[in-house]
Amino acid sequence: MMVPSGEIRVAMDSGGIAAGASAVFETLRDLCALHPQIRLVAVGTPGMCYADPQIEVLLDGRANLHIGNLKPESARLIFNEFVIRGHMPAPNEVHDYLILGSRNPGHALPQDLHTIVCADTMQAGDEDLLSLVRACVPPQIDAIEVSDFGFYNRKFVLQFFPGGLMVGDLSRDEIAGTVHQVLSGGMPKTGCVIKEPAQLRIASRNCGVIDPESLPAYTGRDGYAGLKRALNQMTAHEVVAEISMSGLRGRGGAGFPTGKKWQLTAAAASTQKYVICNGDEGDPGAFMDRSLLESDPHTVLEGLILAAYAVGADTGYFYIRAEYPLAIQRVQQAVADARAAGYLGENILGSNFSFEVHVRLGAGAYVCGEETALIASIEGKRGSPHARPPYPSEVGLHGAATCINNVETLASVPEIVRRGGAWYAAIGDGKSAGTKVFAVSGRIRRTQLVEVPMGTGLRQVVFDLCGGLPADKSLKAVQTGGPSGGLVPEHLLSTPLTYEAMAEVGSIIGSGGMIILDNTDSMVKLIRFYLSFNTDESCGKCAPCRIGGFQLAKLYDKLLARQANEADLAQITRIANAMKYASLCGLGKSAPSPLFATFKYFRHEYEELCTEVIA
Amino acid sequence: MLPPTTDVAAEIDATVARFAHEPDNLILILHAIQNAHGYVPRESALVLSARLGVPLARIYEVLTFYHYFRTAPPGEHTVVVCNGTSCWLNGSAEVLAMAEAHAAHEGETRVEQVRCVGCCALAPLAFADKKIYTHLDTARTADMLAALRPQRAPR
Repeated sequence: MMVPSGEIRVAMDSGGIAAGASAVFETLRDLCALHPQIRLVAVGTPGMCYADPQIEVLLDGRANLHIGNLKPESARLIFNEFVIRGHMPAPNEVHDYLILGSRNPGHALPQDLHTIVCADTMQAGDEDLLSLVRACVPPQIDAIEVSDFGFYNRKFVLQFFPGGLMVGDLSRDEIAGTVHQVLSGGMPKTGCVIKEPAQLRIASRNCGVIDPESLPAYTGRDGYAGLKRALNQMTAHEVVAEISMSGLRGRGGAGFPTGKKWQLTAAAASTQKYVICNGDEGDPGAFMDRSLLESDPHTVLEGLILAAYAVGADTGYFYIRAEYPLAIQRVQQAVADARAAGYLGENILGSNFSFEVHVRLGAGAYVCGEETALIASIEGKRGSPHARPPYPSEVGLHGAATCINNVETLASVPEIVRRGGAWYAAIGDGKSAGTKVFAVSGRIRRTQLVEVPMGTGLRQVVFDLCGGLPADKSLKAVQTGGPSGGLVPEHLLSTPLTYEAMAEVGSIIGSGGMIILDNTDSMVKLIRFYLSFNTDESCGKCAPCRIGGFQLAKLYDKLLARQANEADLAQITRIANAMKYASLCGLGKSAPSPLFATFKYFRHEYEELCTEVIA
Repeated sequence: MLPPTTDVAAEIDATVARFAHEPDNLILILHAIQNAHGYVPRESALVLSARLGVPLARIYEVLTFYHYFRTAPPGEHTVVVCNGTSCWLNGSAEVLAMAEAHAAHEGETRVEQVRCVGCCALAPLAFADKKIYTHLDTARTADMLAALRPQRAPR
């Protein structure tokens, strides 16, 4: 029997490792050692966190599959039966793995069909789909049912190997006809040929694809090509112009135009300048920055080097949460490897641009995500924010002009410089250009990361990409932007994910965390939860945030004990407004944002908890 | 105040030397001390203050501001419960309550919360003596806590 050649990827980000990916990797390493034509690669997360521990199988003569929820003994079974013998065993009670389809449709008609992969993307629990497909083909052709292809609500979907041609939107009656058309060498006339993956991955393009600890793996995917282009062909001013043209905006939450920020820092009078990568991902429920730093640290580093070149900085800092030890380790490794290869240090790639990077650890303070507090923390002080202006772009680290960008923002930069700002500006929706990574969790079938063009509908993300809620639940609202964000209730779910449209409904894109809430979730309890978070994280410097948060928490406790009345609701609004308008920094100003959203859309939940006012 | 033991002085000297090339290295040094001891002992802070020429009050200003730093020994066992939004929605409050009850009953266990470790697909989760436990329901939490018991050194 011909053992195929190709690659098996094991997702080894901290989520994967926590779920048990190391044992799966070790089992496969022993098996692959016997077959040198199969490369085993430890990669970061492909985004489908719900399926950890997971692998992706990319072998000639086999269907491309992701297989999740793996135990070492299941990995061994799959290796022996599918990789070696060519037939995928169905999961059972002992081997309860999850078979997922390839995320990338191919475009070629299969010449020598060996496998049909099928899925019921309506998640109706169709039991005889597999036998229906099997009945259409001779027995030597394998048929595999997968639970999804990374999208839903496209009826029945078939994918044909070799080639990976994908046909969706098929009704049950059209399945046999489609298979026969493909078998007889014709393009299917029924359904819809799916040409593009469900997501558009730019910042996360290498996540789950390459070994994050390998510099050659990164350069093999056009890594550092943007830096080469900038240093060889562009002035610093032209790099800033390219980023301005792209329309890229800060992905950490505020959405400030990145080109503008770079321009302000570049134009600042100080001769010493700094760039900082803000990796203090603080919003609970947000894990896109962790995933990017762990899965593709070089792309973030390249973005930081490009920022330094553009603004004229010779020193940069990564500021990463201490709670992300794997991200810290991989960034340190990337910095060392980049330095050894001449992408960092003196006279980078033979140019007269020199740049050095330091890694700094956060120490568990949410407020340090705020620019001025982050700078204080890098200076080795407590992370107290100060009033702006002056902005860090004028007076930042050690009083020098400083440009601070979020991880995901920087991860988008290398591709923009390589492919041009106009390319990026054409993606997305007007003033909200490009793509955004969202971390979707809570009451959702598939907790995962998705990267989509801005302007994609919230409903599409929740239902078409993440599979919606479990069958017995119904959606109440989506909480976006973490403790500083807001809520989008069910009836506004068609809102496009742009900065402007989200602001109109009283929420924000924020850092990209999305918590899905169902009808059983109490909005009052949710806000009480966020208030604990904010009172805990308030630095205490300004009174509105320090005292306001505490007073609000007390009022919510009174409310939840059913001892509050309408007057208390009015008091909650007053205090929240004081915090919003009088707090010193973004933490205090935005702390009541989710509270306001619940008052706007779910006031009845408060009223139900109120006792009668006794006159 | 007694003079510091030579061990502490030597350790601090080595740590300060390790980070000498890094500007503004106070927080980095405190991380290193905590990694070695599980907390930042007062004696270490005193020596560090003298070596760096930084007032002790400034060192404690930093130590007490950041949640991550401890100024007291963590105890024999540590349970860290993630209290991110996903974990909270999936019942981290019960995990925390069980861990606290265990600590009150057994002693020698310190219970802490962390704001979200970004592994929301595994919610609710916790770390018991640095080992991660995921999808914690009542039974799995009880197993996690029970696993802490036999490791206790006889006294």
